[in-house]
Amino acid sequence: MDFIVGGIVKAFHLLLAGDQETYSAVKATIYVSSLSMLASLVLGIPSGFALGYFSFPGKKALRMVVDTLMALPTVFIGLVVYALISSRGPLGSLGILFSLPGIALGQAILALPVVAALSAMSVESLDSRIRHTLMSFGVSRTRLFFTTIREVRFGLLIAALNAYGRVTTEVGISMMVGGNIKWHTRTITTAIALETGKGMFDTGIALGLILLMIAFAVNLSLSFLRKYE
Amino acid sequence: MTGALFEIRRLVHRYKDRTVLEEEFLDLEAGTITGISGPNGGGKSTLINILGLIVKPFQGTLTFKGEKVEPFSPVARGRIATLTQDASLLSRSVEENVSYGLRAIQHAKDRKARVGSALEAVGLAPSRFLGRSVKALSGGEARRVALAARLALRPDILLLDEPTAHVDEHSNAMIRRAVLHAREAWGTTLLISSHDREWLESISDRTLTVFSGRIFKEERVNILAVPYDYETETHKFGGTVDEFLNPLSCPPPSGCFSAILPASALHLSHDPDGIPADAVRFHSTVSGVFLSNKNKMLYATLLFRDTPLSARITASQAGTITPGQAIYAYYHPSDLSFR
Amino acid sequence: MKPMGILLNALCFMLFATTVFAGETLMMATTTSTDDTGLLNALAPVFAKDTGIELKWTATGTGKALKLGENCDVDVLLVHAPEVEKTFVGNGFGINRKEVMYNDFVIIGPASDTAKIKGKSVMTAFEKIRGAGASFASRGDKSGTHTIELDLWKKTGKPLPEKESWYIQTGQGMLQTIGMAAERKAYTLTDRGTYIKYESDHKGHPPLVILVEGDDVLKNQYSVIEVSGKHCPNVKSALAKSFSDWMVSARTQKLIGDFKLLGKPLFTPNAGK
Repeated sequence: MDFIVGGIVKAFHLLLAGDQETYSAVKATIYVSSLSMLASLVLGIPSGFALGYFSFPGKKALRMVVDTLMALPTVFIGLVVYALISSRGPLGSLGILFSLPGIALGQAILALPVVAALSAMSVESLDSRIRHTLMSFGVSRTRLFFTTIREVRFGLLIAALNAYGRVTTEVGISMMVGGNIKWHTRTITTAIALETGKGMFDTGIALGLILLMIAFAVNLSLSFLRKYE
Repeated sequence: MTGALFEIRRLVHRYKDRTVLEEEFLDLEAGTITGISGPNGGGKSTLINILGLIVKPFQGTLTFKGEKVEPFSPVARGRIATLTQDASLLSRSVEENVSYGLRAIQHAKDRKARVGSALEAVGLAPSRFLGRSVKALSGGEARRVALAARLALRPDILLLDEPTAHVDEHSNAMIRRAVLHAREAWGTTLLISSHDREWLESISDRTLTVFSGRIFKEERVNILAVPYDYETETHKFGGTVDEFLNPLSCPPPSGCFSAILPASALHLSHDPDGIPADAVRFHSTVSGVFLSNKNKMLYATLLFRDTPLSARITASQAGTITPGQAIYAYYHPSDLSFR
Repeated sequence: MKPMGILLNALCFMLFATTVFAGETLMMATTTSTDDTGLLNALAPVFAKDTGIELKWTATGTGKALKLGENCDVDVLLVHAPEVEKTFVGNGFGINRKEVMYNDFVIIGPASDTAKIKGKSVMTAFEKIRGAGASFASRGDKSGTHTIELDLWKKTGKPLPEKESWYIQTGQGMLQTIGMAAERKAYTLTDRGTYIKYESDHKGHPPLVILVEGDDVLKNQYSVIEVSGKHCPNVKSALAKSFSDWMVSARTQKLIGDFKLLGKPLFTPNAGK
């Protein structure tokens, strides 16, 4: 058990001593998660919102599909994305295998159903109350739309945070698509896998703690955003 | 503008295959208060949600200020407001809730003043309540805050669905005061539904009865329990009169259906021989005669086995009918409307 | 799907933004042993200095490394499973297979050595393990080590103990497998480099010790293979050839021979021998 204490000590040592390998992995993690979150939010929020806001034939079935996709295993996404962007795959010409954008593509696929399903859910749970209230004031259709977006913003924030949690903690996609290349595509999670493989449990725990710190920083800044909006 | 403020024509609303509301012709004149009563499930809330432009009717036209309107019509924006039965407050401050409607229609001018006067209208002192969280309100206060949010809009038409249901006596009185204030100060036209017929009649210019998806405009109506034979699926119109009005005479396999009989369809007569043969008749006692100050019609009230009934009478009859008198009452079964 | 197109464009843009400034890079697939031991970390900077080429590598099992080559996703391979490699070249996926170096495998197990294999030949040791039904941990992941282990079982002339209850297939990397073997008091086959690391992690008192070593069949040959430009038009054949040539050059061979882990040499260079 001493490697847990050792890990905590090591985490601070790595950060304070400015360990280059660690910072490279931190940078890679922040870069890919930002890129994948950007893509999944840009695509996921509007589609999730539409899914929850409008009613159309086949909506229930579509909701079920999206909800199911939330449970996509990361190694499976990694495999599919690899098959797509491998040199001999249909998107091979993009040449993004073993690159951070490649990982981001996979992570965006991972995050998209989470963002869409949770956005749809928050719009739906809001629907009955706010929609009814707004209509009882006799508002315009556009106003109803934008007010719904405004009212649903915390739900969307929670959707984003959930997706962010999945994206930063996944290892299957980063490993398969990124290849865990030192200085390039080694993220914190693949570094943990590697260090564990090498038997360096304390380094693995240290890296895990650093990932936790990043998540904490993101949550903290968002909660400030929520307080001062 | 030639017609009424709000005109409803050829309205039909369906839920799945069932017709839940049907009305050929209904006008709301500017500055009037219309009450609607009737049993649960009769269509009161449906009517209010349709007139409030929250629900689009299956069929029919609504004309507001001479313009056809439907949900989201710009002309009705902030002009037609509804306090629905399930209207809930957001878990924020009273001020935010009362100004919510104004913000929703992007009305920025004199917002503060409107919120204040709306709160005053429902009897909540702004100085004490503005900053309060809605979680700290009683049920009656919450209802009044929800009403104030609608009043703050100063709408032309305000629809209130059971505003006094489950509220304490003080809140009930304050809601009544607010309704009268809205009409007086802002010329608001109101449509109010309530279970409390007496309360409703005391406040409204006319009272409609919504029963089984149909609107009865007669000022007074009688709701009767009529025996029904479930085996033959027929109403029992024959038999003794007792069976018609006494719910205790509805044993299985017969049950009772409620039916509505407008006061204008319940006739009185001293002479049993002058009653048509196909009419259902019974002997009763007059308990009072009065002139409705709403439609200026004369009514006699009867008591039959503890059930109060109303019958419209003509001016010539008025002199011959006096309280305490025994009299024959009769109606034609075809005038009954069933659920 | 317009937004998807925009996304892809954005991704492409970022890709070019990163590669344009990165200079010439060579992509290699290799096995975990070369990476875990730190050999590549020592070689890559020297290679960059000599040729100006940046070496990037992804460390995985030999099976997946070869698959990456077959799918044209890497330019060059550094792997250690001679038989499979020859098939790979035979299929036209790779060219110029050059032997670079070797290290050796050892059979390790608990010091109590219940199957009594200490100092025996590999064949005898495997027979005894099977006979005693002693636990044996196998990588089971098509890695180079696993391939060699399977070869050894085959050479005993008996069917693979695939379904035997004493035969534990871990499906994990070498160090995890050793760790699992220690927990289960099992024997296992490992490369010496990983074992040295394991030994030092336990400060010289490891639960598992070397029982069989030095047998000729335990030699672990590493080779470099260029991915065929004919099979994969997109690979950087010229860069791959520079690397391959650089690896077998006398200077690099000396570097490999001098590379030590915890004071013990790991690899024996044998290019051209």
